[in-house]
Amino acid sequence: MIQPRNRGIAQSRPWSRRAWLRVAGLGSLTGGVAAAQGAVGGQVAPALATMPDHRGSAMGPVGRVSTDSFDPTRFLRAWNFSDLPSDERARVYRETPRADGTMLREYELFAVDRDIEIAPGVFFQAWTYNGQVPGPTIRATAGDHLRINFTNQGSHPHTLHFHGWHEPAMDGSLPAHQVLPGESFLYEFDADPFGVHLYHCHANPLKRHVHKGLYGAFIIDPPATSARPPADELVMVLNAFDTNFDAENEVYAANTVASFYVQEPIRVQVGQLVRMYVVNLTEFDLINSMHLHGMFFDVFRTGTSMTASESTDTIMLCQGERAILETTFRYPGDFMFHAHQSEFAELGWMGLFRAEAPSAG
Amino acid sequence: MRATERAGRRHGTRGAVAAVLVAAVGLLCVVLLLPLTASTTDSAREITLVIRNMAFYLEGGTEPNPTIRVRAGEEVRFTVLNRDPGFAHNFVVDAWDLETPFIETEASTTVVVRAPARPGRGEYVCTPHGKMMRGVIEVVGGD
Repeated sequence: MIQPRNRGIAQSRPWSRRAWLRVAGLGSLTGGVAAAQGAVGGQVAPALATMPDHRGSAMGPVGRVSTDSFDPTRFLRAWNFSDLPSDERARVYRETPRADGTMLREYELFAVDRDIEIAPGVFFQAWTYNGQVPGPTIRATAGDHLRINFTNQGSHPHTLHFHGWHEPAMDGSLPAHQVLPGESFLYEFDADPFGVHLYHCHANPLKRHVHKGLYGAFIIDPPATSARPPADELVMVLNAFDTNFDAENEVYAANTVASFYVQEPIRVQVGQLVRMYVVNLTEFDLINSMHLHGMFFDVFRTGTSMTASESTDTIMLCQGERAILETTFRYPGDFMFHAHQSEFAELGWMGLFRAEAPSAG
Repeated sequence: MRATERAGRRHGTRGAVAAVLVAAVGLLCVVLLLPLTASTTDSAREITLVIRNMAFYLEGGTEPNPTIRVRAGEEVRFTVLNRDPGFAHNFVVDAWDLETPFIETEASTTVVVRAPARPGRGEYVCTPHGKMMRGVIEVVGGD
């Protein structure tokens, strides 16, 4: 039903999402063929005469994105730079136990411009924290003290704006808080409250600074006395990219790279609790969502309660909204997960879990 | 050269004199710049810098932004290789009046310079990333 209207848009705006999708090779091959045929003439041709060969249907883009500078699989289970070799990690992260049993956590974060590959052969001139989008996941336990030395090595003023309790001077949001290129600022605050939060740049214009890639997940664990049960933990930042500055996104993803987890499914174990920290940082689109096939999950909105608020298979998230999702895979095999906005899914926000039965040994 | 030739045609003898002068100055410039740009003898000291993760490394080295030591007055051939995906970097030593063009990922640039005649310490940087890509370049007495 929507096909004729979309065709009209494609003709008047050469770089509409649909046209872009065809060029970039995203989406199914048959979809591309259908769209190309639809663009010829003003009428829908008789179905029988032009029936395309549906057997060529493919899912996701053609080709692979290099994982040299950012590996979405590694990002899933990395926090506080745990993915770096110890000597490199020591340069950007230090933890020091304090007398009261909490931890002092010190970070070196920097903003820098970098071209990143968001779909095979599609490069985005990003603004990044520490050279990656999403930025490094920051993780602490409630009551810890965080000290974050932020250096702006980018070409524009930037800030770090953390969600959570802190003094106004640490908010990184007002014009006076801007850290100019070449300058530094020390952010300091206690980790409070426990939950899944986020950080992002709050310099103006805000939507541009966010959509360019300046954001990351900020996880605060409950105190050790009431820790969440052990689980295979995964960080998923839902994001999207406006590649042509028309205030619409052309590429969508969980963790930046379009359809990456279709090509490299997320490996999980049947019978093991899986905990997902899901943060929506998509700009321009008012909401995003996540749907998991073949099962249900428990939802802990903002992660600020130990009691699940609902059990569902689709969660809706506003911009900046986040949730902890918990499930245990019952069957081995591949399970899709994606935005239930089908358009987002076909433009890259699509992945697979591959559940493996525990080995017999 | 084209501008000089045109001037010569228009102004006759005076123009020809001017052309010779310009050519002479040009030649002098070439002679002076030769040690900076042209390939030189094999005696030049080779220093290869590899850029990765927003830091300079000596080829095969593990120390980020290491101190580079050269002898006073010696000829140095710097090769700077950018192995940092998604970044363009350069290599600048203000004290030596040395600045490479921006080097794209997986590209390299080579520049031959003569170290200052007097011992001293300077800094090398990458201009846009100077807070992180910054090290000491030391000129020690020749022996």
